[in-house]
Amino acid sequence: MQKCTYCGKGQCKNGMPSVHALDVRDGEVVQAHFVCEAMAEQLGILAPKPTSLPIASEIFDTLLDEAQKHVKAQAPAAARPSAARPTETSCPACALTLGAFKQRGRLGCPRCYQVFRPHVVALLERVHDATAHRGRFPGRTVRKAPDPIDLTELRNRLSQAIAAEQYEEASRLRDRLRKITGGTEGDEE
Amino acid sequence: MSEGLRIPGPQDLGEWLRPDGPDHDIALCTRVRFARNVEGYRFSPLLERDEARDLCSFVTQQVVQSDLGARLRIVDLTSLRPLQREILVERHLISRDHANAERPRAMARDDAERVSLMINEEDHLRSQVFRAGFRVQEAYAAAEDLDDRLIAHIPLAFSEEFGFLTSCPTNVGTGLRLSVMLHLPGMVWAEDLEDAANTCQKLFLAVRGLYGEGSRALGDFYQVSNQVTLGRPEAQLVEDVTMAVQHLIEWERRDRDALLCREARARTMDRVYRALGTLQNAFILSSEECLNNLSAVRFGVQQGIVPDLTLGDLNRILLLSQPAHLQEIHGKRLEAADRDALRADLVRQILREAKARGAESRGEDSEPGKLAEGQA
Repeated sequence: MQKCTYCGKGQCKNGMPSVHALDVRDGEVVQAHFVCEAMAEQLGILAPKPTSLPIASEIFDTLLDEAQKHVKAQAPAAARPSAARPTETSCPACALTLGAFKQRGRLGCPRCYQVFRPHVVALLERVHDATAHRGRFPGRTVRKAPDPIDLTELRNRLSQAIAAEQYEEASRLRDRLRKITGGTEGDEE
Repeated sequence: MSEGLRIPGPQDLGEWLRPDGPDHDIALCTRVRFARNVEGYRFSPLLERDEARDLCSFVTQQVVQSDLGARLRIVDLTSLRPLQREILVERHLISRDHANAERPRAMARDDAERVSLMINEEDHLRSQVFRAGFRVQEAYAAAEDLDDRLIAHIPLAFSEEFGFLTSCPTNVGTGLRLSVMLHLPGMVWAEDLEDAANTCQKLFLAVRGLYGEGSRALGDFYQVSNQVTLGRPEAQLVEDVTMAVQHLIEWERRDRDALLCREARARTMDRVYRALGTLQNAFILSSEECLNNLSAVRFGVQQGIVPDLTLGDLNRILLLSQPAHLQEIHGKRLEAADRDALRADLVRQILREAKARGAESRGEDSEPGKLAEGQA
């Protein structure tokens, strides 16, 4: 059975590498690689399978994590984690899966609100006919919540900063977004 | 059967059944509840036992160290017998889920039963404030004050976008649930309740039975509460519930008056006095039969057509005829059949005492063994 060029295993569903990567030089193929799906995702050859609609902050987290790993670790490929990516979205803080949330209707921890954000927002719209808090803040009697448009703008600016590889600006925007939306988003695991 | 039960007096009713609040002829009690979670912990249903113990210990310590410590008594629910926990449920101080859960959990209450905290219920902390009668604004102000005191000592899971984060997204945002318990026999008998419930639903308010499940609430007791907790400021929720309850109270009064007019009167009087007769004479009373007859008699007392009895007497029956209170009075666990017999004893005794009290106030000789006559 064909093994993955990088991890030496076959980690895709069929038990064998399913990604065919080619080194091309001057328009000619100089080398062919057989890569399993899990490794292809880790190497950035294959985009991770989206299990829910990605939001800008999640995309940013993935990109930033990759960038930080690249800068900090500079580790050889063999040292990279080889665990397969879970096929279902789950909360990194409490391990609650999307399926369990849908089944029980209960979230596992404060961070779940961000992890399952698209599903939570859809549910809030149905249940409350609203998606944003308009009430009091801890320690303060009543303060107007930020307009949701501000958050959308913030996310757009974040996406633009990532696209332009302005990581310092992106980091600042991310911190601001995290502060507004819960403060736990994107913590290092 | 013992006719001399040691029955707790009116002073033991607790705030929610104190019969002197505004509009108490219809509104039993107002309850305001905030759902809160402590930052840094998973929500209660996912906590391991050690984490749950740690959470309970942290929250109770913070309560003790706050200025609430002197007012509130903290109770470790795992240290109570099941019957003692059921009593707290029947007094509305904790939820049935909180009583029956297996995880480490606690509660705190004040002596007047105007405040209770549920610790490690579905959310880490649910604070409740009770006020007799229809007092949404006042109960809310007290609950907000309590919440502020707790927030000053406990870091909470909060997001500026979604508000106070809760285990169930149906409570997120304000985490606020305002409820008014109403007795609505007029609307039930006039078959107006469905229309009223539909109207409330359009205002994002829920109308649920206070006792029993399903379409018909036992004893015609209903709870009106806000259905949404997100996207509206607390003041608006207070206003919505207040406005809807005012409307329901007026509607109920109109229906009650109509039930005592012309040809409807005889039928209504018959209904009230048959119920009184059953309560005065029955030797076996199930919970359902007791509540439904109490409703008719309560209607009669509120409309001034049943002498001697007061809402205080009826509230005592309402509270003490519940299974756990009956068993506490008796001093041990009882099977359902024995409870039904004891319930009938208790009801007869309280009604007899009320009749004797009424006779005494009129300067008549009371005959404790004689049945009360239903005189319209």
